[in-house]
Amino acid sequence: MGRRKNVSYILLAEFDIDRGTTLSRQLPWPTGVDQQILAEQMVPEGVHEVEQDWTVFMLNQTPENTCQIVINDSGDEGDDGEDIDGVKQQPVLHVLNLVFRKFDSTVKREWVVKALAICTHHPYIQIFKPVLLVALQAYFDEPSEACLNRLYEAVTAMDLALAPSLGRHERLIVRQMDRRDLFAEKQSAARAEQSVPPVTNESVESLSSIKSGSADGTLQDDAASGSTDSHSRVVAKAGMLGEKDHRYFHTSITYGVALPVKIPLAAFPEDVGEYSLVSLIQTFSGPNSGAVSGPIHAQLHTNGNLTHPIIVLFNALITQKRVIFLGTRAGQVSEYVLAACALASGCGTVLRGFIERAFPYGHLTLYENVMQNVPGYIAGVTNPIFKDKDWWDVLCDLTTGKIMVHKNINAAPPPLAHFPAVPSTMIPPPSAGLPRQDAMAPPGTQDEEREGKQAKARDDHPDNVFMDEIQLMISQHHGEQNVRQRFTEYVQRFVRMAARYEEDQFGRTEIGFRSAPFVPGGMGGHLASGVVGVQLGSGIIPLDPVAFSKELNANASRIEGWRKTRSYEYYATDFAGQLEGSAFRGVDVYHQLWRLSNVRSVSVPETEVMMRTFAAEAARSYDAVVELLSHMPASRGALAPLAFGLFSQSEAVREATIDLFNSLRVYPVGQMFIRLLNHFQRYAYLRLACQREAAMRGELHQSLVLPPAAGMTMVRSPSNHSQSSLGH
Amino acid sequence: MGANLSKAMAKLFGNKEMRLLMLGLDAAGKTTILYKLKLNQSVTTIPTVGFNVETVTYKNVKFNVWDVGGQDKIRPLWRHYYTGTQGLVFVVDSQDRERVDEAKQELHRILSDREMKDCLLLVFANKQDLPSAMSPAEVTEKLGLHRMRDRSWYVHPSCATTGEGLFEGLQWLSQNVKKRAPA
Repeated sequence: MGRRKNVSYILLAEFDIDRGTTLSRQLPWPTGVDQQILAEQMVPEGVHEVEQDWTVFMLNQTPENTCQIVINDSGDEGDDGEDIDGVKQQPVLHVLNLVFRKFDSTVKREWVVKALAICTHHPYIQIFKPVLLVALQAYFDEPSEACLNRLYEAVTAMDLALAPSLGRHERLIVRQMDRRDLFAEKQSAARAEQSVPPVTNESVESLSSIKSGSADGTLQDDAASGSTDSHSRVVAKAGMLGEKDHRYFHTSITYGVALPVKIPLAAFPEDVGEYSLVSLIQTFSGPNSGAVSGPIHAQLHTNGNLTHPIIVLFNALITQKRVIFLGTRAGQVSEYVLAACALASGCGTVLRGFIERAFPYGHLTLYENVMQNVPGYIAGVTNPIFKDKDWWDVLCDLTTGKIMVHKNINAAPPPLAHFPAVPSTMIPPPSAGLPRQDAMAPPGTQDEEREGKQAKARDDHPDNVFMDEIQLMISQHHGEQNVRQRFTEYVQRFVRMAARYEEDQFGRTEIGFRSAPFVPGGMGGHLASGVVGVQLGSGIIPLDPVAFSKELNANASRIEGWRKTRSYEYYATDFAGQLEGSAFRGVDVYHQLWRLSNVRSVSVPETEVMMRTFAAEAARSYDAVVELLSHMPASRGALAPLAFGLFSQSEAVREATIDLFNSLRVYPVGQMFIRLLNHFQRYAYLRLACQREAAMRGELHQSLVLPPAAGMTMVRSPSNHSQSSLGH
Repeated sequence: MGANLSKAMAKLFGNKEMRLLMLGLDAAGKTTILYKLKLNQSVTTIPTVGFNVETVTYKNVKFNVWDVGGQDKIRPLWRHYYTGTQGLVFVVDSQDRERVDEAKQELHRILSDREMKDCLLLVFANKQDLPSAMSPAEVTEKLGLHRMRDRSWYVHPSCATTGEGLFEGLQWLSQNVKKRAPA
């Protein structure tokens, strides 16, 4: 989050009885975009049917809707655009627009329609809703430039200087954990005008408080309470931190009165505005939705005619098809378009390149001037004439809940050569017939169990199973946040699969890790990362190679489609950047954690190398700790996969796990993860950690190979209470 | 089977669907006509931003009526609605003598479009209740319809607020579209 201006432009449009929609005012100076286009975006078609509506649109997407760069004193325009095809492109501006219709007996035909919009770089445009409401009301009373000037100044003055800025991994953790108290320390640090996170020994929590989950709890208390109970106590503790949701920065905009504003700290640039994946899914999975109509398309129908409508939509989005949402109200279709972008991008955390081709509210003028130049636009429209045109590939009709594929859609190019049944070197030949491959997958696997069986349409296709789970979650009211998390994981998995596809097809990939199994290196005893010959596994090593290769085959078309899109290019860039910035230098963290949770028996040497690698890096830096934790969402049990290391038969694994947990415990976020372990795991850790602590105090068994930092921290913050309670 | 049955019924009883496009200068009364037809109520309309679309059934004909806003700036968008239109309902404010020439130009521009070459033309000489309204004959002349060959056209006086004349107009459309459509 750069310290950009909060607002780039303020726009006011009106419906003039003689001249139609007109743009009346632009602050602080004209945008340079065609006024008619802006006016029609702001006063949507059909607005005469509603009293009030919120709509969203973007600017700086094509030359036609790009604002002219004005060199001003602050020099903050167009400073960090992206180079596309050698042309420096300004970052996309997000516009939140409010339109009112009011009765006024003094004017011709008695109705006045006015719209007020704020253009900003912030993705969290929803924070401006209260001030827009107040300001537009004020403008009806006093239609003057001064009125808008006050708005401009009020929004510009909103102070974000004290808002802590979270790194990518920290933001991912905030999203995955759904807790109010995360990174509270960052806010207090920012308020105390420190710029460094408080990574000091003072913040190290004593073992006793981890043990009980609350500062004053006793062992008995805690042991007596069930795990859900203890969870609620942890939550209660979170509440005690000032009853404040620390996932937001709380500030205000003063426009006449101070309007409170909550800035989401875990914002991603591609995750714009407010939307609901649950509504999107429910609308197009309802009883009336039925199957997708229109021709079967290889890239869209990954499971033939049984492809779930939402999966067809997802496929259309990632393969850059022209997608239109047709509804009755501009505000309604705007939200669906934002939701669709989130669906495809993993809520902004995995892929990007969707917002730049999103037109949350589109109309005929916009189509003529802007949209038709954008390949694969994602648009919301209220004008049913769009349905009659051949301007779309996939149309999602909100009034009927049906998705249709256009009869004239361009056929998908045939995928490159089909895979051999078993593509890769490390996979054993499918010698035995094995009629039902899924029987081989061990129970409880989250990813690989869904892996494909046959390319033909079938009910138990992994995507159908996935959508069934999502619909079950929705019907059980698991909530928007959990549905978003599941879809994020779905997108992640798609990308990893695409990497594997490239590797098999072209021998190399730049969007993922090479698929390779663990290489033990042929030595016993203490293994460490960096020892020659030892290599952790990476990429996708399926549990059931035959099924997986079938799934890859079924996915080949949509992967091919995706590879030709801009979102793919962005991902390649982003992946390279993530690789470079990773604290684990070339280790596929996701792969390790996947193996720990899904493979029934990971060998001791492999587990040991994993744990030692994690422990070594976690001891070295805070960045490594948050990177590791960002791969452990609550939905997959958070720290649980690593906690199994505490029960390993191998002492070396146990020791490495304790080292790792000790390093996590240095930071508040790590403490929180440890507190979330179940009792059994938490006590196992405590017991082992205290034993070691005791051993070290009672005369240093120097044979222990401890990463120094974590070990020393432990020694410096002993807890008598915890020792005595371990005494019996 | 149900679909076949209803097709047969449609043949017997002449059920038809007809797509109409209603255009005209701003404030000619298009939306008022639309809702008078649809609801048989005189509504105080709000100026149309963009368009209205409604389905009106009259004597077994389902009219799919598009009513598109008339401000001059958005008239270039009218052409997007032409494809598939079987009847153009052009609404003229009979009292607005100043702009009848503008109306004439717009009308001829619409009809010169290739997509509109087979479509019927119904002109409502609207607002007949107002004093000094032009008569249908005068409207016909001012719009230059007499010089129009190769097209079925019909001018009918109307008063949207009372509904007078509206169904007669639809009647003409349904009869003429019947003749053209091969049964």
